[in-house]
Amino acid sequence: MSALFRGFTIALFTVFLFCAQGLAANAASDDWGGQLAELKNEVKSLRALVESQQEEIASLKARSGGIEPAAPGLLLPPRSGSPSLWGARSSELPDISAVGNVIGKTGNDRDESDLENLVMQEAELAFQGYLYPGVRADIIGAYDRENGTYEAELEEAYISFLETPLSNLSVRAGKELLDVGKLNTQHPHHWNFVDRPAVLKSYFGEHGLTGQGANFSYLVPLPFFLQIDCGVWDNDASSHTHEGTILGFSEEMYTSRFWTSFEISEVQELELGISGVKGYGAHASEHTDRLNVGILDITYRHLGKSYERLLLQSEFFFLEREIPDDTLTRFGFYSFAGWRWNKSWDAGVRYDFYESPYPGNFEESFVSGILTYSLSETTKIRLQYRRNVDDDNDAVFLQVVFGLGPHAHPLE
Amino acid sequence: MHKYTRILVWIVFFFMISATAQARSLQVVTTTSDLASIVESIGGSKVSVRNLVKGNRDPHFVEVRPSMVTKVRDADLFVIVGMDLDIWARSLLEAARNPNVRPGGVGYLDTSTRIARLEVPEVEVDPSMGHLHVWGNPHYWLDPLNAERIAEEAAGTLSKLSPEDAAYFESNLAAFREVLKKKMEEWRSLLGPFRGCRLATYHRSWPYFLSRFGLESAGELEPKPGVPPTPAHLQEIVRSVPEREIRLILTEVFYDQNSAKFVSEKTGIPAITVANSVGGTAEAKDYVSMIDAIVKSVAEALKKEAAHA
Repeated sequence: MSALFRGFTIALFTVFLFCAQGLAANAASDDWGGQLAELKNEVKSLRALVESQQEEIASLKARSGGIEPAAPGLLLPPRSGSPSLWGARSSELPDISAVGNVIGKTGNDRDESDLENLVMQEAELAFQGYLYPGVRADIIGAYDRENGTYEAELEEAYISFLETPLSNLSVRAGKELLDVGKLNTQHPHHWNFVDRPAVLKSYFGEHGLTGQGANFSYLVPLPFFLQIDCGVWDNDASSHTHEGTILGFSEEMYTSRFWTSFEISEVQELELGISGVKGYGAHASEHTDRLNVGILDITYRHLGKSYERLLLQSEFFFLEREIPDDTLTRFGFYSFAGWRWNKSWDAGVRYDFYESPYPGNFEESFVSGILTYSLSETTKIRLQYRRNVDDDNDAVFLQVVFGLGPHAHPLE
Repeated sequence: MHKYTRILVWIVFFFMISATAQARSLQVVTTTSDLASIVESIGGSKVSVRNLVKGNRDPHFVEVRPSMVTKVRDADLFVIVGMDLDIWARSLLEAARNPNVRPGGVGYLDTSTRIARLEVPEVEVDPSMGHLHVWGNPHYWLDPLNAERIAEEAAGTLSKLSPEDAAYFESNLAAFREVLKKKMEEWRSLLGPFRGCRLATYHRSWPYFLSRFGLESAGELEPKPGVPPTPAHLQEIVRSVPEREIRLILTEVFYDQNSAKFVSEKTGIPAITVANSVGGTAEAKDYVSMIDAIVKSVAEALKKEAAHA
């Protein structure tokens, strides 16, 4: 009891002594305001020190790859591993994607199938990925609706050697849409319009010009873009069409393309391409049918502010067909002008003309107006009005294109 | 024939000249203008830097053009933002036939690898949630301290590519750090008085910037990342201004300005448009002047708003 009391007294005395000392010191300086300012300054400098140290700690942590607890709210720990290889996908699986192309048609153009219907025109399934450094494979299959039924078709399947012992040369082998002109290599869901321009349909068939073989592509070492492609092909029997105005190729084919591009300014680019296909027409098994098609393609892009883009594109087709007793020379083209004014909206007009690759003087021309709303880069809703100028008939297309999963196409 | 031979000789000659011209400096290609500006500060006279996307366009969506292929083919160093922001560069790299600048090559630099990433999704994400990046929010360059990280990465890679200039790059890095340090003080003192202020932004481009300067996000005009504002969502923002305590609306230059204008007119909250990449506005000439412009316009708008309130 007394020990506790003694301890308490000593503690009280000590506190008193300290207070007295403090009071005495204060009385001596007699300057409360100055003291306060001094303390304030000290706190300020301490705060600055703490802040700068925190910053340093944070930057050190970041440098060592750790977590920087800087942001309030949605901060979650970063995943382990490095994102320096694109995409956080499993290396075991290739990129798998599906593309759907839903088309509704109305109007009085009797050349169109599925009129007054809304149908799933094409569903595409793609497997894409690397096999080895600089070597990749692309396999694209499609269910395509034709005359009311679905046909499964291997659209493209090829292996690409992006580099070869020869610098700037790459090689593709397999089945592919042939690299002639601008539009033929593109899949329909990539186009700025719903339907295949009439001249492409007539000269290359309803599914475009495909072949089995190999393509050699050389990027010429010049200060501007110049790529030369040469291919040797055999056409797939399955893609033959014999109807009406549609011809297409058969048997072996040779293709070549010179593709160049000039950056006129930071926002303007002009692309020019000259390509040719040499081979046989679809009737070669029945009679002489030598077929050559030359294509000149011109694309001009002007990028405005934000998302604005002007696209002018034309392809001119020169066809020469040697049949018994006659050599036909034919011409066709399409021209497209499109303007995108914001992230979502895009409008365009297209003019088509072609001369039939068959004897006789049949020719047709079309005018189209197209309006596109894009939800994302791969999902779009499109409306197209097309008028056959010669037949006075109209067609209206409604298209919904959608893409699921990572889907890539080579530079087009 | 003689004429053609002469033309061919001229072409070869031209090419040789351009090849020797290239040999003098390291050719650097970056996806965005911000990376270009930072790499330029480090590389100085030893590099020639070009960027593929202009600062007034959305770096998420880029149409790959053939002229880009040539640039990447001739590049010694290719720098990307990473975190899937510039994923469009993948097909470009495949067309360019330059294995040195592909992932894993000596001349490939993804500057996001050492960044402390924000908003990394914890759950599996898919497009039903909008345009989300699995690696987290990729707009990290808007934090000046991350610019320092980018600069360090650039100095490291440039030194590897050109070891004889390592000291030069190192001294440029030190100078860049010094500039940033000084500027940081200035930016901090400008925005210091507005600590804790809440801003609504068009897109979620700003978490790195906001958290660095002690500002807070009060939501986006986009209902979900990458989804354009809907009237209902904008109405909801207008209605919830008091509870969200929104003091300012921030829009990036390439997005639609009308949504911010609408909310601003309905509520009286100021709305400003700023560059979020170098070249986005006239003042944003390089990285430092871009941050400078953003900080100044945010501080000015908040000051005016406070005076008004």
